[in-house]
Amino acid sequence: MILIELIDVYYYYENHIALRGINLQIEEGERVVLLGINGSGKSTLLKILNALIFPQKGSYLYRGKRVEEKTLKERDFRRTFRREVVLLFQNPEVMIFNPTVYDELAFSLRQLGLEEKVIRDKVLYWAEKFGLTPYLQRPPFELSTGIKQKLCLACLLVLEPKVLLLDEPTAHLDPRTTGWFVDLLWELSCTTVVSTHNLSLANELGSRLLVLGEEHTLVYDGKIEEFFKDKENLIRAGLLHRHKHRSTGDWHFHSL
Amino acid sequence: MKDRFLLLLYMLALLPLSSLSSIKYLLLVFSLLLLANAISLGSSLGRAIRPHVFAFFTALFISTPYALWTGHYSYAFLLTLRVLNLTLLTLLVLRNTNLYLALGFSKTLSQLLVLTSSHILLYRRVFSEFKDSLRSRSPEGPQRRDMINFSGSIGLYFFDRALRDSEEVAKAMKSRGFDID
Repeated sequence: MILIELIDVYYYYENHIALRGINLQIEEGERVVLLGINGSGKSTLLKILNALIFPQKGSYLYRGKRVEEKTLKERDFRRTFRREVVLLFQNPEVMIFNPTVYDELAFSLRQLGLEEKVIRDKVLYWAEKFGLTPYLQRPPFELSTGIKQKLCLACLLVLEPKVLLLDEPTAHLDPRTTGWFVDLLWELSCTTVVSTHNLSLANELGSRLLVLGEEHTLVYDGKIEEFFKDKENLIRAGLLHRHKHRSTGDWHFHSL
Repeated sequence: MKDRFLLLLYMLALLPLSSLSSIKYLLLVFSLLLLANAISLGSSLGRAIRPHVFAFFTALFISTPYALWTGHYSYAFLLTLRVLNLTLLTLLVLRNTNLYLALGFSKTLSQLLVLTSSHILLYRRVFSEFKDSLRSRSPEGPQRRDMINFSGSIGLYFFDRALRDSEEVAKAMKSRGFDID
């Protein structure tokens, strides 16, 4: 079943283009990795998928329904959409605005009008799963960046979303937590779209690859292994660079 | 040189503009400044009009209650015109002056300007991310209690971050030769 569909999507900022003619479909349960250099439009694409911004040209369909400002004003659709499609921001600090870790985890659940006991059970379950139990009564902004990242992810997962959008989720994580995160990602049953510019991690994060090129177009959509087989793909996406090898003085290609 | 000259001209113009008390002349200056701003904005007029509208309503918001309360309508009108003229002049000069070049003669002022503008740019972006995240996490749209928590948290966040960032930026500038000790 197709959950997400983008048809010829364009997005411009004041003085530059961020996305040019993007077409894609994502089916339920797919694990998608979004790869591209900095500034290629990955975050913009994720914000469109989370309906925080809207295509200036083209369409975005979620479960076959066109997502635009007008549809987000319909209470039922907004409630379902915001519950089913969640986004982990690149900077975890912007997702934290409640007085305690407990309140942070309970924030979206309270909005859904669930009973306090149900909320409490869910919060305690996810806090335990993410090792956040010792911090429940602490102000979240006091936590370390790695713990904040875990907290933000837990805040999204308490909603049991259908689509999890993750913007450079490993950027603030140390190697050990990155390993934990990769394992967790594969445990989840929801559809995931993970952006990264880290080539070495790409094939750990999903099975289907979308690559945004320097021209802000989709230059590849297919299996991850196939993409890495052809050096031309990497060059076209600006993911390969050439520099002089220190020991021999030769020129070599290197990936990012 | 052009930038310093414009800045100097601006400083000199502030005194007569803030002491002018003839409504006729103030209106004339207002019309000229409006025209100059419109010409300077050119095709981006639509996008850049926001600070002008904001200045207009802020001036109205302050002077209207004063006029209604005291009955000094002409004085309130005069003050409003003065404020608008000063605002329009400031916007016009800011748009046409490279402040970094204009303040290049003083290391202290340059440093202050760099600190301020880097903070504004960074915080504007972070603030917009905060708002997006609140929208993204609010299936029902934020309630009053959420807005109170949100405002308090981001106020604290920016205060704390401003302290940390200022120290970092000052150190970075020092390391690049901007020593003002």
